[in-house]
Amino acid sequence: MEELVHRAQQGDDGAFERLYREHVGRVYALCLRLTTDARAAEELTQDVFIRVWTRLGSFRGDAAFTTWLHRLTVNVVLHQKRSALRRELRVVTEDPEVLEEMSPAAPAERAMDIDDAIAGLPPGARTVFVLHDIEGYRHEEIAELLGIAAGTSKAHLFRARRQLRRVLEP
Amino acid sequence: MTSRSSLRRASHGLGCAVTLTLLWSAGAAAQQRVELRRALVTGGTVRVFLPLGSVRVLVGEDTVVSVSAPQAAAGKLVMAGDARVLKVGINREPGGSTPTVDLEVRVPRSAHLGVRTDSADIDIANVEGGVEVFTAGGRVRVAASPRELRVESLDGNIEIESAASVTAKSASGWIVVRGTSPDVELSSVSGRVALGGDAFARGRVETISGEVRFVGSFATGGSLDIATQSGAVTLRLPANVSADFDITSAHGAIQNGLSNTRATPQASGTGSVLRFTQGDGGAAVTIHTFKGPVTLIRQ
Amino acid sequence: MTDHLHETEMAAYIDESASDAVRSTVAAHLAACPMCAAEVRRAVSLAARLSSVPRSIDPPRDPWPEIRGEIQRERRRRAARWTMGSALLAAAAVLLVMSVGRQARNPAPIAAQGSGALAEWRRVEPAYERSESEMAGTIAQGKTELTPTTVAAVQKSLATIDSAIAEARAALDRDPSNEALARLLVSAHERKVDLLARATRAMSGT
Repeated sequence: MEELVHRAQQGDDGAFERLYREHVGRVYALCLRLTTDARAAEELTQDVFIRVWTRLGSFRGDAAFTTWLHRLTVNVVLHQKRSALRRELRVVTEDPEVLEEMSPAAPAERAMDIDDAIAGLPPGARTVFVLHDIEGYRHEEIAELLGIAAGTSKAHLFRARRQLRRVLEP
Repeated sequence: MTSRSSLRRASHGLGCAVTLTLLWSAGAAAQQRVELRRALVTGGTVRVFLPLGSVRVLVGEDTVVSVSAPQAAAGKLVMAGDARVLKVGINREPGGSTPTVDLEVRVPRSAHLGVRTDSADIDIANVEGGVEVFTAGGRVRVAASPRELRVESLDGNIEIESAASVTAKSASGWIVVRGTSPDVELSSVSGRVALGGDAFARGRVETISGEVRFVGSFATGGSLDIATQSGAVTLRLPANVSADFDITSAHGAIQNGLSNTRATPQASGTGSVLRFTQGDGGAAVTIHTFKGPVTLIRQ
Repeated sequence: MTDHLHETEMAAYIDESASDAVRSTVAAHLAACPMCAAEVRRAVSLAARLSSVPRSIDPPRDPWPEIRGEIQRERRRRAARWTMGSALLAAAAVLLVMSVGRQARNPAPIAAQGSGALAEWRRVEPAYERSESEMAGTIAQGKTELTPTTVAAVQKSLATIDSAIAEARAALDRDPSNEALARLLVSAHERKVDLLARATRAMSGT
């Protein structure tokens, strides 16, 4: 991996494509789970890899490449969401109650795919759930990424887990 | 309450009706204004030209472009073209007799807008198709997020609030850009440039002697590239910013208020260099200056 | 412990991060509370399903062509920028700088970047000189619609840029391999070309 990254940094396009092939699935999965929109996830995946290519020179190898790539992906998605949110909504809140009201209604209870269930979560709770329970971020890291308090991150996670349990195992 | 009388006149060559409307406003000191209206297709282009005075461009109806001017300028007001490309405004007059006019133009939201003035001030809001502004000395204010936003002035000041990609150039006018643009390209000669944002994505700033000020923080993978001959560069950043810094100066002082890393002399012996990583890195800040001071300040 | 288990207690019990004391208290509660017991079963089931959720999903369409296209475009943009810059540097030896009201002068030559760059400069030089002389002519003839303030601002800007170019060139002569200086010189030239073109356009009203 390090060798591949190094060669890509030197301008080896074949190496960069191989890096892409190795990681595109993970990046797309993360974008899809955070946005629940396949088309948006595709566009964001493109944005992520273009940004990776542009900024590969600044990756110093202090952390693992996958960690760096992940943070970049999360930032690209959140930046997109923030822009959209700012345009559409004039309310900025981290109150889970309010965010839940603004989300689409949870799908009717039925035996369902877990990804469908995750997509049905309110946006704030879904973001925290995906970052914590699927991507393995800690609450402190999530708090910093989202600009919320760690306690709020925990509240979102518990709400997400409760709803998922109700929906998946009624 | 307004009352109107309207005059309809068919136009031969163009085959569409031009409505000349006289508007009265109740109110003691109100000025009489005239209004011209024409149809515009979705995504059509509107070119506004005005040497002196001011022009305000707002979003109006979906398929109509309207322009209003004081009645005194009625004889000089031009509206020409077809439903795809409309030209609207006041022409220059020889011998210094160009009138000073305050125009108001309303366009469809999806219109592509071009505005050209000599020293007329320009205010644009909410247009989404595309915005291009060329002025010499007019003050420019744009609050819009079109697909492309380009503003060029000489000594006019430029103020932009946008979520679109922005290109802005001036000579001695200052430039301020706010908003969540994904890509910002700014240049001036001596005009001060100010930019920033909470999750700044990508930007390039070039000045000769103009000051550069950045306030905010970076998205991971974000980048800020600044080149200046003698302008002072100031970055106000939070202590927990994540970025790689690469700062060189031939003769200017480099001050780092973010960490304990200090600038060191360059290998060649000329000038100094400051390179360090704050946080996880991931964003890239590159600053090259000849003799302007560079200061990193912790917010 | 309250009437029912809190999420944190449940989570700690399931992933076995709870202390022995907490575990036995929770276990005792579960034995007596069917609701919480059912909840814990659901939570265990959820955790199991999560662990088998695919971490990688292939996008329905491979976006590599778009990514490669954008990378190639960015590369071309960067190459064009540097080529132009190198050309300007290389051609400084033949550059005639004619600012309003000043004599033409031949600046001291600086290290050429190679014949390719020089050829590139020769190609763009005529347009550059045309802008300059047009502007000089326009102002000289007084055929400008711009205010005296603007004209003065443009002249002052040109003087600022010329001074910066002279400074950067002198420094680069002393330190020819300094990339940062080269970048600054290129930037100053680009500002000048850009300013001349825009000023000419504004003055002639086209």
